[in-house]
Amino acid sequence: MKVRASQWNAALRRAGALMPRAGKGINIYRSPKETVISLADQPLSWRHPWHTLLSWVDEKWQFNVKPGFVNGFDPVVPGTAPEPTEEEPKPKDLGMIDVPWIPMRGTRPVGSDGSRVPPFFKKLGVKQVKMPSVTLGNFDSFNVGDLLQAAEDAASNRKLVAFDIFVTMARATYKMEPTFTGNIVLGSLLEYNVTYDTNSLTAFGTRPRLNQAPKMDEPSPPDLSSRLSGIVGDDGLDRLPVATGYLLAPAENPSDQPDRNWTPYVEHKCFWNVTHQARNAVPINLPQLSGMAGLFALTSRYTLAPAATFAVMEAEMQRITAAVFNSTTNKGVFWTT
Amino acid sequence: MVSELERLIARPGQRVKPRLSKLLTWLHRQELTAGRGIRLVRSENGTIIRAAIPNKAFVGAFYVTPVNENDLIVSVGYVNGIEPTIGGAKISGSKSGPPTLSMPSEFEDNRAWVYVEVKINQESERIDAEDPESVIMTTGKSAATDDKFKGRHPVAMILKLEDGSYGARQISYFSLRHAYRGGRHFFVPA
Repeated sequence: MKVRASQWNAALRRAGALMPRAGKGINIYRSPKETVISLADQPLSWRHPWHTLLSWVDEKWQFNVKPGFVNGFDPVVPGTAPEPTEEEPKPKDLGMIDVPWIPMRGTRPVGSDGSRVPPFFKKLGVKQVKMPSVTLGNFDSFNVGDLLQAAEDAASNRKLVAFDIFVTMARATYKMEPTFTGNIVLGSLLEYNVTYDTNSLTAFGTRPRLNQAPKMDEPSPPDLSSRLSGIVGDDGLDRLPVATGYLLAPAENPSDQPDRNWTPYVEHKCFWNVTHQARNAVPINLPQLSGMAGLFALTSRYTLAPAATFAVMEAEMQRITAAVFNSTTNKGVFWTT
Repeated sequence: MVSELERLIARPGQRVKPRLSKLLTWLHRQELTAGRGIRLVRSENGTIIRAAIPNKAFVGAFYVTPVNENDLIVSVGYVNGIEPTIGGAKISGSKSGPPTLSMPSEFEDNRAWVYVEVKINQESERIDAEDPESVIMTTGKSAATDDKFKGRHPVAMILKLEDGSYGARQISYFSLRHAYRGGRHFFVPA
């Protein structure tokens, strides 16, 4: 069958009319094999509290967090206080409601320093570089080739950086002064005095604060012997992770620092407003020398040799000290409002 | 006309067959695949595209809406299964409409709050479901009460805006359970 040019051209126009095009609220992605039609993000869709947008605004990366509430208050954003005036010589930092965009500060590398890469980013070409373990123990014997290979892998890896957004709540801490009396006759081996320390509240106030850091670190509790020597190990801040912001470098020709060509991603960790409460109850005296240990102590002064009595006291003091310290944290909790 | 097809236009006397394979490749690319929020229903008569478009925003319990410069309304929410009241009327309202709550009179830093306030029985230390005033809606600038048997929980923040109007920011999205322990009132989502 012979097809005329005019017929062919008419068929082309009809075929062209069948090509789907994206209208309002629709995204169309065309690949060599198919056309995928999807709903675009709804600009008016509901954003949950703490929903975070990471965007290139005014020639820098900034983020916007939909105001969330802790105990009914929107957190203040450190560093946003307006310039002092005669009327307001000591202006306060602004609340989240009044701060639309917050400049991103420091970031941490992800993957290229051996840190864990979320599976999502592995699919986008970010590898977790295997860093050789170099310690004082193997400093003279570790394989230099492994270290060089890791440096090479890190240099060729697709760059990914991250930072954490989190809320802190200041609270009182306990200050504890133990005194070892060793008074086995009266059944009291350890006396302790617990008082409140409000340095954190004085410094940061009672209102929550929205913070950012390359990595949110929780202070690890000190061991028993450190606490006995007076180290509290509690900075008086409870932390609530809000989100982690990621910036992924383009696959080709990435810049050293994140610029407009990098792609933002946000991993949310908090979705609702919260209530926070600290324990705020000074621990009461624990019973000492109770049960078998008490019975043993009461009889030992008559029946046991001094060395054996001393061993019992040591063990009991250790038990009481551990129990007291473990019950004297004022660490607070967050729960969904 | 689609630019990719414009290149395939034939002038009189030109052969069509070499252009046909390119057209078939192009047609193959136009085959639709359903992405996020889309459902395709194919039939001999064509392809129907159905989109799951959200038609309204999420509205939870105790949703506070300023209706004018003086009044607020609060959507339904419960504390221990009890519906709060405003001036003795349940917040879900009657046929004449929902009761209104007066706009807060005092603001601090342009902020005030709408609270759900519970009053517990001093002996049982529980909310008395028979008392219509045991769970009420109220406004203020502090959750503190002068009575230890009353506890307040913020459900929304009211903002005094620069233009003099009022805005609301929702804090609670869920009905609540209340417990009184050690002299403190605890509210958790129900």
